[in-house]
Amino acid sequence: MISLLNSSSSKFRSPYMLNNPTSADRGSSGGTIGPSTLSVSKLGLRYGNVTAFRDVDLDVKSGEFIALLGPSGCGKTSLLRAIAGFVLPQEGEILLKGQDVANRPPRERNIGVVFQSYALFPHMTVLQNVCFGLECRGLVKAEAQKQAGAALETVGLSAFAERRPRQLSGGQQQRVALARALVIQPDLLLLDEPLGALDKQLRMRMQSELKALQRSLGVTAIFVTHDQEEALAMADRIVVMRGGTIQQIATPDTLFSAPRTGWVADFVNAGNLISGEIVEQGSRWTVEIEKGARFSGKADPSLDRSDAVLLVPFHKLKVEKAAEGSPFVVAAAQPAGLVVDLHISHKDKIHRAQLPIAQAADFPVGAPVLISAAEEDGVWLTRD
Amino acid sequence: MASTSRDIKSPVRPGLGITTLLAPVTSFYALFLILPYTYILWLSFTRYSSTLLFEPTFTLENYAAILTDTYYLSLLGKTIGLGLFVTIVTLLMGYPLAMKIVRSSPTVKAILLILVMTPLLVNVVVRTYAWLVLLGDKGVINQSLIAIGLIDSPLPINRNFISVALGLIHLSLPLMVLSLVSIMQKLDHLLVEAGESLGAGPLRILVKLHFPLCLPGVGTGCLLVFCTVISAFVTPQLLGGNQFSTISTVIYQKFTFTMNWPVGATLVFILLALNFTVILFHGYLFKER
Repeated sequence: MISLLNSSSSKFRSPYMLNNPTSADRGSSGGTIGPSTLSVSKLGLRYGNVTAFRDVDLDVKSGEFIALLGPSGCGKTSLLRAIAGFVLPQEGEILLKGQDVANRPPRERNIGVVFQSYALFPHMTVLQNVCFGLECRGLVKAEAQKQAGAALETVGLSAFAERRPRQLSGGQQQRVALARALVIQPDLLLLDEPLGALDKQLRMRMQSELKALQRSLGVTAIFVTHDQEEALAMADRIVVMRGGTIQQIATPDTLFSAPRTGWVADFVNAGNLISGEIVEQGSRWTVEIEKGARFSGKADPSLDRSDAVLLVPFHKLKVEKAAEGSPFVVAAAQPAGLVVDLHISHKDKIHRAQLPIAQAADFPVGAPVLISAAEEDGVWLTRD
Repeated sequence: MASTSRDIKSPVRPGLGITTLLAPVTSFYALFLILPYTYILWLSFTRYSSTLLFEPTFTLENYAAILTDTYYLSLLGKTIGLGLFVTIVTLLMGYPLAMKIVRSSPTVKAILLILVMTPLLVNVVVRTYAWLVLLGDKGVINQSLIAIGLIDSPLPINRNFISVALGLIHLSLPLMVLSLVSIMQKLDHLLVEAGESLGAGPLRILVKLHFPLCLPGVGTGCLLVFCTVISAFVTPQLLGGNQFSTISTVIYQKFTFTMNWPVGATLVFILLALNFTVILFHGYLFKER
């Protein structure tokens, strides 16, 4: 599939290159980030007196692949819908290629949208679906069908052009939706939980396909997801949202290594969050969660010590054998590739440690253990 | 292990004696629907007689006479024309109304739906006489127009096609609107949004997406309205008077005034055949969806 994408994408891109020569460089260099395509500032949306989101500032560079990540109800889908123009935010501005589009209807924004349910037109064939946007742009039927055919080839569905959407599998429908949104050469591609309706195996495969397609076309894209693994797998940058506000905008690496808050760290599964009464000891802060189980990290004077948590990455948590009666007990040991994910229960909390398989054999389920971490492996974060 | 074989024709478990419970409704239909229709069907094959009322023979001459007679053919044409006209007008009026109802908040929606249904809640005679009060030569509309000097003599809007059509539009609009509302409520609004994001303006959305997607509801609405209109009796009888007849009003005349039961019975079955044709056509058109 990937090879098919690469071999045929040049055909699909050809009309693109005529309009916009820079897209060729973008495509071939595999997603070089250009100038800002979308710039959102101080954006706020309310439904009645319920705030969907507020104070949203977001800058998306040309060719970037951005994930809006957050739990359900965090406002990520509302933000996507506001950018698409389906809802009109009361505050702030949306600049698309430098033009303020906040008050323009969706049809004047040239934004491609892939819906979670795909929203394919059931009364049209696959080809007619893909042609729709081109016909709206005044293309004659023959030309529209030629371009739509090329787009279908890009997603590997040429053989299905005359089928109806309901005759296709979920994954195929998803690709039609993608082709339909891409064929109009949108300035921005929006995807709402694009892989949410697919089963896990297909989802994993589509993640890499989607990423490859986005790169090869050099299209700027934003996708909404509640699945942090999906965000980490596909996005160049991740926008973490919670309760209608942006918590952090960062690359996947940064999100893991330097989450801004304990909440973000927890949401992206960056590591264990150790909390308790924090004692200042010279240049470090220490928390004792159990007699003999102390965790320390370099003191951070910018934080409120009464409201800080210590982040210890899973693979940095040290596990030792302990005498019977230790409050730390191995509750589960889940193999995860080359490592084993040890779940260690302590009171009502679970701490996780990732150990190489050989080491993990020493800690069967039910074994009493002790946990610790080196001072340099712990980072203090504000709780929220 | 010994294998047992039971004689079971269908593996579906039998129901809970529903057949027995169906007895009352079955006898009701048999007694009050099938029996009278069989009688009328038989009547349609008899011959008119001025002394005997009808001669009990078997003949197809009533059908032959009606289907070759220009009066009856034009009557058939007028009835179908009336049905088509009312269907198209209610569709054009009902479609935007249904769209508005579907988009309204729950409270407004409930109020609008009740308002739409009022014609069905008012007694048919009262409703029809209200139209007479409006449309008559001495009615509100004509008298007002004469009073303000726009016209000298009453407009011909009574006892003709116009008055019958108005009354029937009033009566059948709820059927159309309710059919359309029920399909529009099921319409996935994301499809409209998808169309908008692809660059379609309001007209293209309506013609290429909304209307085709609502076609099953349009079909049901048209079927209900057309069949109601061509079979309607009270409204064309009262608003059409002697000057505008439909098959229904002629059937009434044949059975009560001219006492030509065989021809009346034949008209009943021609009307019924027309209704069935429309229903079958509808079924054929919407088979795939």
